[in-house]
Amino acid sequence: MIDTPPKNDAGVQDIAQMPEYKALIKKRYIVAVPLALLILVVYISFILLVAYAPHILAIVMPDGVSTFGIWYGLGIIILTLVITGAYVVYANSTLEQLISDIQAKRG
Amino acid sequence: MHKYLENINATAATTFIGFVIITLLITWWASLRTKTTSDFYSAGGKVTGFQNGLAIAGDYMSAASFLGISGLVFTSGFDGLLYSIGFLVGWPIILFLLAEPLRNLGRYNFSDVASFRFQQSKIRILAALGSLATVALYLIAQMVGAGKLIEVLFGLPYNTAVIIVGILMIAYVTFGGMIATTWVQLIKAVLLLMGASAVAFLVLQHFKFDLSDLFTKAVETHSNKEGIMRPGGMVKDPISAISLGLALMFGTAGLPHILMRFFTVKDAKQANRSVVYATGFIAYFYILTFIIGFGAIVFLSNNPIYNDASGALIGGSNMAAVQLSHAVGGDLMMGFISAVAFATILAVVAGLTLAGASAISHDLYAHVIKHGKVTERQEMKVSKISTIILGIMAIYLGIAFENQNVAFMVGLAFAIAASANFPIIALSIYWRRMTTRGAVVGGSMGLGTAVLLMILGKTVWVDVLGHAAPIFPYEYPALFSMTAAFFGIWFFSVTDKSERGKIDRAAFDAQYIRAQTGIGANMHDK
Repeated sequence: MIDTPPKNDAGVQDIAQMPEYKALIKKRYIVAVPLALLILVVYISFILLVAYAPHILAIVMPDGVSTFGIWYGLGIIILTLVITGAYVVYANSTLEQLISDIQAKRG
Repeated sequence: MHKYLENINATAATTFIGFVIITLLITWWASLRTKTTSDFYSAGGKVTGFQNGLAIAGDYMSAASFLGISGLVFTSGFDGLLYSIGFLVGWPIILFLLAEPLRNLGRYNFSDVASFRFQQSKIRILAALGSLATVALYLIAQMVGAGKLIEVLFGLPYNTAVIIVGILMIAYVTFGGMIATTWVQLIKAVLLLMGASAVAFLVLQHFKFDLSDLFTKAVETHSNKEGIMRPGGMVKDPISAISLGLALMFGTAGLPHILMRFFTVKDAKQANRSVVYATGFIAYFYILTFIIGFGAIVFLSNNPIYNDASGALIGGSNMAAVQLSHAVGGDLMMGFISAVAFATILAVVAGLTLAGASAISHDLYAHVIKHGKVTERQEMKVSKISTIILGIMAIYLGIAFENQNVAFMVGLAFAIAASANFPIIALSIYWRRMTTRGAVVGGSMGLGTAVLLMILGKTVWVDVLGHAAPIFPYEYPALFSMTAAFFGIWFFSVTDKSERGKIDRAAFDAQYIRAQTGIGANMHDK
């Protein structure tokens, strides 16, 4: 049947007091927020360069043909991969451990 | 139809028929395993992180990406990279903000999450509308694209092509549900990656794997010379640039058929893995399309075999990837790539149809109309009927829109996803003071603004409706419609003094705990 969400049951509220839970939230967002901001800033800068200063992106690289813009773009692609990979390794180990601790503590 | 295209018909047809047979067999196998709504919508939660990553990537690597972006690189060089990057950077955002909460809070589709602590009916209606609008636009664009592609490649009449695609997609979803669509998407993703890799490899091999050499030759050949290595005129002003960027980045996080895939895995851990794998495949794919686009510049421009009398590419710039495959790999490669391009469309429309069917049967029927009092059997039945109806409508609209410019539809789909779906989900997960009223009014503002500005903009007002000048001066509404949505949600939540509002806010803590830890979440195998 269709499930309904738990409405403030006491069982879940006690989790809010657990130090492990507070640690989970802190540890999650101390990593997630800066990484999210990083990719946002890098990407928006790229867009702003395209919009306001395309000549910077047009600067030619030492090989004589590729441009700064192309490498910046490829750089964003690689950055995306690196931060997603890094976060998942972190979340699936450290954060998962905290979640298991919380579940174990509840019994 | 040009002579060499006639020759590839055999290879393409064989590959494609092979794909169809295998996928129909898979659909039959899936139908045996699809007994519950959990199976139908979310594959019973049995999809692994890796499989899901591949399936999500497959959903993303649509014909529009493969043909459209390589075509854009072929025409304008650097500008194609803008789109690729935009499509890619949404993924980290999804990972950091949405992947785990989604999986922990929802069951079948994103409305489950958006309506979690709010008054079900109202939010479900809005979420279903947002989903259906996005899905419908995307579907029409895909169907038209499919029809045209088949017309050029196989010589079949447009209407026949659209009907074939429609019937197959109805079959996949009605009989096989999410299990079938996942596997079809997976297989197609593998084929597409293999095919695109082969073409890119052959291009690079020609230049002895020296990228600079490829770039130099492309610059020499292209009419725009060095202009292809830097931003061209695709985005004409800063506002449009930012607007487009926002739509691409956040639209991804609001696409119902993509978000639906987050519920097919066992738990949040697998959801995370899905995103990493998906991001990896998609990033690799966009690098390939970039190389393919440049390869197309070198091999196809000024080449009389591939251009018509006026010097334009046969079939239009969308055919660049396909033509290039012939140039580097002959009839065999072209046949394979053509079949894969067609398979790509089939897989994506199946996923879209399933998302649309779930909005109708799970949100509107089961929750809004029946208030949750339905049996599995009833909901399954309505799902299948919805699929068939949606499929028929897709066929009809695909035929009706044959000669319309449908490129704006995908853009609008992303704008709606970014302006209606994403703000509601994101704020409901993270902002305590959000209320039902805020969600409904703010979300509607986002949706309405996106649609209105799109209509008043150049692509519809001028190109489709024929007026002289657009009322809304920018081509991309996302900056404005997203602002409208966030403002609306904020304003109508903080000014909400109703009883319902109090309930909404009070329920936040329990929701947040569940979102973060998964405790209390629906694990499929329980």
